[in-house]
Formats: sequence, structure tokens, C-alpha cells
Amino acid sequence: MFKSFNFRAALVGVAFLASVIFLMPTLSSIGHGMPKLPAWWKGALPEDPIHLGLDLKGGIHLVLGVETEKAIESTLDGISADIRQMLKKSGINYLEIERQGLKVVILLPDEAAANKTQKDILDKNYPRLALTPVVKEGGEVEMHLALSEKEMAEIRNYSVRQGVETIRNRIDQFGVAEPVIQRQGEDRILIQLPGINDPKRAKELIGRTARLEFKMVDENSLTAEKLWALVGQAETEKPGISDDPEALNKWLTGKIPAERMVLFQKVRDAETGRTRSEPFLLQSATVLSGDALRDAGVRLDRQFGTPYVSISLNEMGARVFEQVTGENVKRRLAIILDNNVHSAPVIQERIGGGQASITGRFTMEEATDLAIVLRAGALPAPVKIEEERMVGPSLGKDSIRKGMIALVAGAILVFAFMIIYYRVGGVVAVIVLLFNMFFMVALLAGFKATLTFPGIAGIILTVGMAVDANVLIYERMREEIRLGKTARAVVEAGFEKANLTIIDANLTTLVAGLVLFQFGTGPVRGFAVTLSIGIFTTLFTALIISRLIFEYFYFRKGAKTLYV
Amino acid sequence: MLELIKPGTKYDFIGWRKKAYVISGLAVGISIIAVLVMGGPPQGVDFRGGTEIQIAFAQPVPIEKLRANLDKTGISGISVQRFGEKNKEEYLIGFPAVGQDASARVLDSLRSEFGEKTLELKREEAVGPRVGKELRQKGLLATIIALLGILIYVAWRFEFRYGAGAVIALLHDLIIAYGFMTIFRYELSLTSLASLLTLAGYSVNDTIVIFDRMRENLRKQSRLRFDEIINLSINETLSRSIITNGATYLTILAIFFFGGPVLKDFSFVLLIGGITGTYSTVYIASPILLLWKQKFGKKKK
Repeated sequence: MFKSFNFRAALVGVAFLASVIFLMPTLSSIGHGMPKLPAWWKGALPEDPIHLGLDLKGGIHLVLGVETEKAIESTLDGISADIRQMLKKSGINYLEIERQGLKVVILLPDEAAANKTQKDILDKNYPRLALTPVVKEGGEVEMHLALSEKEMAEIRNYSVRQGVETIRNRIDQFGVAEPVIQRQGEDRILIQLPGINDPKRAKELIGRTARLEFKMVDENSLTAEKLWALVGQAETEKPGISDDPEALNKWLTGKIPAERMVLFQKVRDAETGRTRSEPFLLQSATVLSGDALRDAGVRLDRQFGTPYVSISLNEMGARVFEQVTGENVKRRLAIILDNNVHSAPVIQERIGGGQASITGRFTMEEATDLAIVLRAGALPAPVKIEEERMVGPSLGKDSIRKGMIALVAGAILVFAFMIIYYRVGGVVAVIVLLFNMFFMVALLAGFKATLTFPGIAGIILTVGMAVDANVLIYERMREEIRLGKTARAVVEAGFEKANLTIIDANLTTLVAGLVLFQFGTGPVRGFAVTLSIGIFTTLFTALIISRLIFEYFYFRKGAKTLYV
Repeated sequence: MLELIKPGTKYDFIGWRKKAYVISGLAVGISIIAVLVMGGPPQGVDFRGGTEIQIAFAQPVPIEKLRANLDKTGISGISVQRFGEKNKEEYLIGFPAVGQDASARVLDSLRSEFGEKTLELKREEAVGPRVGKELRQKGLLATIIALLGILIYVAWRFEFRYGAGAVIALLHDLIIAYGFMTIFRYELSLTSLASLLTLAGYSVNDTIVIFDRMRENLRKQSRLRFDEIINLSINETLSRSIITNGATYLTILAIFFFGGPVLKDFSFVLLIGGITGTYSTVYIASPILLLWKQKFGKKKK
């Protein structure tokens, strides 16, 4: 069947038609007098133009690392807060309870209390925590609670999965066309945002943990002077410690009353433009967290027209909020975002209905972004940027232009070279090369592969390398001509003998191409794609199309003289 | 008929192999010394880690003013260099820190001195230490896998010694390309690593064409000695080698001159590889077959 001229001609015809169909959307997307897709096309035939990589289209590529350890820590923090509540409720006398690393440690005065804790609280509520009691000198008992490996793995896994969801929510609300948000490996999230003009804003929106907490301010235990002095002392002993709330509060243990913590509010001085940090003494227990949020939106202050974020709480949140505000009128409630005190308004009256507002010196943009991250929810664990690649729109356009110039220049040089050297054969080679490029681009569109800047280089290189197949065939033909064979026999022998060499030579390049595809990311992968596709189109065009052309003239038309 | 190489050439390539060994030995030796002394080509941000920002100004800004401004940001290890075409006000700023803070600080500082509108952020690449290390490992692994893959493919299509010959010729090309990158300070990045692997593919491509001809001639011309077969095969394919490589070289030159700075490192590797690839096929891969036969061929009998 493959021997049949008509069959091969039909095959080329089908390939050509399919390529036209794949390329139509790309052509019509260029505009500028290019044909528009007819109505019947939609829904029946491919409609996507060639997908351009971020390096050509402009946009941002981010790989975030999820600090999954932090998700475990915060689970344990929740457990220890919970146990503390229960210890208080059941009247068990405990000395201390806190999370140490990846363990919760409860210090109890004696064995009796320890047994009661285990029986009444731990066995009932946390049967799956691994428990190790350590009896200390003087009869004190330290109970160590730890999560199993399996549970920790689950929390890690969940924190990444949930992180992907949360970030997708945020980006959807921010409004980006065709974003890519994917989990990558164990603890990474890959994000691609095409056409982003403000990478800084996008990064802030994505990277924020957005953990919202409400805590009561303790204004009675320490004077403001004492608090400032303590913070100052910490900073002289360990410079930079105030930037790390966890380390600071560890240092402060024993120096401030139990179950209190210090967090800062960053205040921007309107005159100097500098920010300074003001410490707040807070009750450690969280009154309400972002989990209780139902919705958040931007509102404008009626009096001053300044934007603020209004939040509405779910039913349970609303109940708690009403109770807490009712009990604490004239005291201050701190609104904390990612361990920074955002504001600490004085509660004027009991607030029912579950409506609250976060005010501050927001710009409209800041308020909008805050509302978005609050609506989308907090990340279960903080993330940090591990890889970032941003290409501005003008550079992308520039790259396309440079790539096209190089492509045209390279092609013209090769075409001229081939025609000068092989004359008629050269013209055939040029036709075959044009087919080759045409099929390559069509396959790129058909496979929905991504065309990148190095990918364009791959197309140019393919033009150079594809010549090899023709050269191998023509040089063979010349050898056969010298042996004095007829044109027909020369064509036949030329192709037969060159076939295997062409296949072998091309497939080794495919080895390199496939390895690159496996290993490469982004632009490099785009190069591997065009290189590999180019090998197939080269084989197809050189072995089938170019042969058809020769066979047509020398078998069908009976041409006698071979110009190669 | 236009013929660069007249048919029936009888160049004694194998006879010149001793001289070729000296040339290759020198080239490889210089490359290795350059790599050892200079520590290899400059590492791009992909492998080294850190941040690189490409910016463009609407009006001329002297580099000294830029430096002074950047020094004030207090970011350590910051570097500036001109980038791209000569007539454009484009700069590349690099520093080891990765993360939102540092790059924002740089841009804010520049914008406040030179004006919001005149500065355009064209590109930013930041690679954290963990990713940088992974890319290094993956890059090395990819190179090894590619070489093994080629060895296996050639060994499968021909014989093991052909595979070995092809891979040794290939290593020769890669070492020299790497050496040139070191000496001429072309950056080792993901893209230039891709071109090293492409070079590997192309270098073997040439080798295969000649090996293929040897296989054919071994069948046809059973009376010739092996070294005569090699010479004959190289001579017969000489015209093709020159024309194909000429054509490919034209396209690489097009990329080198028109493709802009991003593709410059990429095409530089191929410019070097285009020359060494053909040379090594003739003078490295083929003589190794002969050596191999002389060393191991007799044992079989």
C-alpha cells in the first residue's frame, strides 16, 4: 500500500488539509485582513491559535514553596489551645502547656493530675496523638503529645492542596485570563499568569498568608513604658528579633504575664514617611479567626470617602462576636493579619448581626486586594517564592520580532544556497522545506504545544538540519548518475539508499530532544518540542513529499534529465 | 552541476590522524585547563541562584549614576551591566537575594530617582537556592542521560564500538564548546545547556552518516582493509558533510546575529559545535573504530 503513488499522495493531501485546519485559528487571530473563522467552524473544528509561551506573550511564572512544617505547627497550636480550654473547664491544675517544635508539652504538678488529664481529656478527644509521659524530679509530670507520621504527611499534603485552591480563588477574583495554577511535586505550587502588568501586586496577592485573627488587647497588666522597655531589651540582646513574632514571644515568656503575647502594629508616619512598629500586649487566645468569615468587600466611608474593608461573619462567628463585644465594651479588640496588628479599635457597644469593618489608611487597590484575600481564605501554610520569571509585554513582542527576522534570514540563506548548488533539485528542496515549516507550525497548534523563544530557534535550526535529508538524497543521486544509470533508476536508488541513513541520523537528535523535554521547563521545553516535532516533519517531508515530487516527474511524466 | 568537492577524492584522513590527535589534544587540554583555572563558564541565574532584573530607560542614564543609586539600597552583592544592543539604554541588575523585598526595593529606589515613567521593567528572573541546586543536578543528569541514550542508540543500530566512537567524539566536542564558553565568558544557563545537548545530537548526526557509509562499504568492498574502508567512506560523504554543515551553519549564524542577546549564548555553543562536530567525526570517531579494532579485534580470532 505504501508503495502506491496515489496512496502516498492522498496521505500528503490529508496531512495538508489537517494542517490548514489547525492553522486557521492562528491565522485569523493575527487579524490585519486575515480571514475570519466562519460561523460553522465554531464548535466543530479547532479554534485555538498557537499557544505562545510566557517569554513571548509576557507574563509571570512563579514557583512557590509551601512551608508545610508551619501547617503542622499551626495544627498543634490549635490542639494546645483546645486542650488548655478543656483543662480549665474540667478544673485540672496545670502548670504550663505549649507547643515545642512539633510536639505539644503539658506540664502537670503531679501524677494524679496527669492521669486525670489523660483519662478525661486526651483519651476522649485526642486518642490518636502519641503520648509520652516523662516524670520529672519533684513529681512533676511532663506529657509530650505528637502527631503520627501519617497524620503529619496528611497535613502537609492538605496544606499544599488547599494552598492551590486558595490561590486559584484569589487569582480568579483578581481576574487573569488563562492562569495556570498547579501543584508541582511534593510541596510546590506552580503559577503562570499571562499578560500581567503589575507583577508586584500579583505577587503580594498570591504570597500573602492572609491569616486573620481577632484578639483582645490587654491594657492593664503592663504599662506602655514597660512594654516598650521589654521590646527594646529584646532588640538589644538579639537584634532583629522583633521581626520574628515567634522568637520574640519565646524570649518574652516569663517576662510578661502568662497567656499573653506581643505583636506589633506598623504605623506609617504621615510626615516623614517612615514606618515604626508599636507593640501591643494581647491575650494569646484567639477570639475569632478568618475561618468565621462569610464575605468581605470594599466600602467607602461616608464621611471621608476613604475605602475600608467590610466583613460579614458566619452564624457562629456572629454569635461569638456579639458575645465578646458585649462583654468587653470600652476595651480594645485587635484585628491581626499575618501576625501584624492591623488596627485595634475600642469596642463602643455590643455588635450584633455579624458585621465588622477593617479600617486603615488604605488605597483603593490595597483595600480591594485585602478583601480578595480575606474572601478567598487564608493559606494553610505560608509560601515563599522559589522561582520567578517575569517577562514584560514589550520584551515578548521584541523577541517575536527578533525570532521572525532570524527565521526569515536563516531560511533565505539556506534556500539560496540550495538553489544555487542543486538548481532544479534545490527548488524541490525549498518546496519541501516550506512544507516542513508549515507542518511544524501546524503540529504545534494541533498538539496545543507552547511556542517559546528558544522554540523559534528550534524551528530555525530544523530548517538547517532538514536540508541534510535532501543533501543526502541528492548526493546519492549524483553518485548513481556517475554510474550511468537512467533517471528513473537514479531516483529510486537515491531514495532507497538514503532512507536508512536519514532515519538513523535524525533519531539520534530525537534522543537529545526527548531528554531535553523531560528535563527542561518553560522556554527550554518549548525548544525541545519544536526540535522533536521538526524531526518527524523532516522525515515525513523528505522521505515522502520530496520522493513524490521526483516520482511524479520521472515516473509519471517520463522526464529524462535529472538536475540535482 | 556545481560541485564543491569533485567526486573521487582520495584524501588520506586516517593517515593524518596522528596530527589530528595533537590538535585535538591541544584543544581539549586548553579547554580543560581553562575550565579548571577560570572555574568554568559564568553561571547564569538558573544555576547560580539569585535575582536578575532587566530594565530599560527612556533616556540615557550613565551607569555610574545607576551604581550610586543601587549602592544606596543596601542590598549586598549587587551588580550592574549594560545589556543588549549598544544604542539602547538597557541594563541588567543582579544580586544574590531572592524574594519580594529585594527586587521591590531596587525598583522603588530607581523609580524615585529616575522617574516612574522613564523606567520599564522588561524581565525579572529569580531562582532560589533550592531550585538552583535542583536545576544543576537535573542539568548534569540530563547531559549524562542524553550521552547514554546516544551511546545505546548507536550501539543498537551499529555495534558497541561505533557507539563508543560516537560518544567519545561527542565528549570531545562538548569539552571544547564548554572550554570556549569559559574563555569567551558565555553564560551557562538553561538555554545554553539546551544548546549543548543539541550540539550532542548534531555531532552524532554527522558521525552516523559516515558510520552508515562504512557499514555499506564493509559489505560491498570486502577486500579493502578497515582503514581503507574508513578513508573511502569519509571521502564519499565529504561533499554531503560540507554542504549540510554549511547550510546548518547559515541558520546558526542567522540566530547568532539576529536572535538578540537571549539567543546569543545558545547559538554561540552551536557555532563552536558546528565546526568541532564535523571535525571530530572524521578525526576522532573514525580513528577510534580503527584503534578499537586493532586492540580488541584480534582477540576474537
